[in-house]
Amino acid sequence: MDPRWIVIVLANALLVFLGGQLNHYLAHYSVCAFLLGACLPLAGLRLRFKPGLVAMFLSGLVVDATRPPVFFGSSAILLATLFTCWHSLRLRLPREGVAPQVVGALLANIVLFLAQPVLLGFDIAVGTTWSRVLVDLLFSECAVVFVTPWFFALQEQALILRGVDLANEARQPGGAL
Amino acid sequence: MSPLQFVRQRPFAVLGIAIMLWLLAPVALKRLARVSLFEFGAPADFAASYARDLQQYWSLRTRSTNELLQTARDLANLNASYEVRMQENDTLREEVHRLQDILRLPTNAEYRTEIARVVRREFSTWSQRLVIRKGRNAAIPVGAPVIFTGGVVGRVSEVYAYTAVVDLISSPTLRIAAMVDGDSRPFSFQGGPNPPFAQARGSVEFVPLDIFASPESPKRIVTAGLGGVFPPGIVIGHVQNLELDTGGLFKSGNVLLDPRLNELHEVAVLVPLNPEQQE
Repeated sequence: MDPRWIVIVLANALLVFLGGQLNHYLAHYSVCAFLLGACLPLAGLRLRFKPGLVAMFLSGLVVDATRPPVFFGSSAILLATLFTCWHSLRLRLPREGVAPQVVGALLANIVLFLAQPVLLGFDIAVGTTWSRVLVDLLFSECAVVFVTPWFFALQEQALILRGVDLANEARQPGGAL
Repeated sequence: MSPLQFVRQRPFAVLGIAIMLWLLAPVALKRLARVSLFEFGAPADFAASYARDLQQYWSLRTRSTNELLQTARDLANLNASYEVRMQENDTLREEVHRLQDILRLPTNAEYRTEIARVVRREFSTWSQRLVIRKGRNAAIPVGAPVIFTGGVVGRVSEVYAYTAVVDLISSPTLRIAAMVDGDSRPFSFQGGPNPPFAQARGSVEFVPLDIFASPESPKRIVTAGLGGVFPPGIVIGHVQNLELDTGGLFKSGNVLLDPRLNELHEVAVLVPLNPEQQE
């Protein structure tokens, strides 16, 4: 069995868990960090389409299982759509270094965060304040900037442990780079 | 064209097919996937929760013996006062039962209290909830009210094997019947909106016109007992201001909830003894 998507899904489950723990402590201050955008960069920059799509879809399901009652699978569809868009554009975008990872994660995080009111429904979405939305978004983006390089490296190292060197693979004919 | 070539050359078509397949998947399959994935992640949250308990235990071990003796003495005093209150409570309960029998009034719903530790707090932008360390293993039902020393915490919204999810009273998804302490006229309470770096809040609607509240003299509101979920008289919060609503027939205003709501470690789930009676 292809270990790529399994490793990526497990790593994303770890990120969901760590995000949950961070939010547990942040609850005291009535703010929260939304880190879903950090799940995308490795798949978007390095993975081939099929394992990437499977990994993002399953990661979205893992996220949805621990969230308030939004339509189950909504994050999966969003992540899969963003991944497909990134995958289609990546040959025209810079791919080396930390900057593409961080910028990609930040943009994905904004899209995913702002999509939440649509998924939750208008009744629930109006039950917050603009200040809360802005503070949470700002806080989430800062957290994503810090988390993404570490998380990207963690996923790469986990794949190398399973005998998959994505950076090398991506340089082969038909690879991502 | 082979399937692999199709996948490579038509990524958006593949995405569309995947989404369609998911949307058309049976609800039972989705439900099974959701519950399985939640249970898959639950042990990690459990472990983190136990680690926090252990951390607290070791931090308490660093306290001096004198400090612990002082705390034990305070607790003994507190226990003594609670003993007296429990006896008073038993006497009053018997009195209520006797009067209900004489007047042939319907009996109030009775509950058993299930104490549960908080595994995870989640105060996201749009909803607030807790995950607690008891679920089907403690026979906790969906919809059970959850309280703490400061009043209402919320209502159980999902129950899993060893955990349950509680929708907090500060969440816009929760709406309950309330009344001003000492007044019997019910009105509507709804959680949110919750600003950042501030106490949790809620709002009230359909408040009678002769009730007044201001930040200087806030009104304490309690559960009205309507709707069969929360027993009457449990503290919700304090109404800070009341203004005429657009229709001019009622008032609406803001409620400040207990500040400890954001840092709960332990809650009590009220499990109805006779669920049929509540319905």
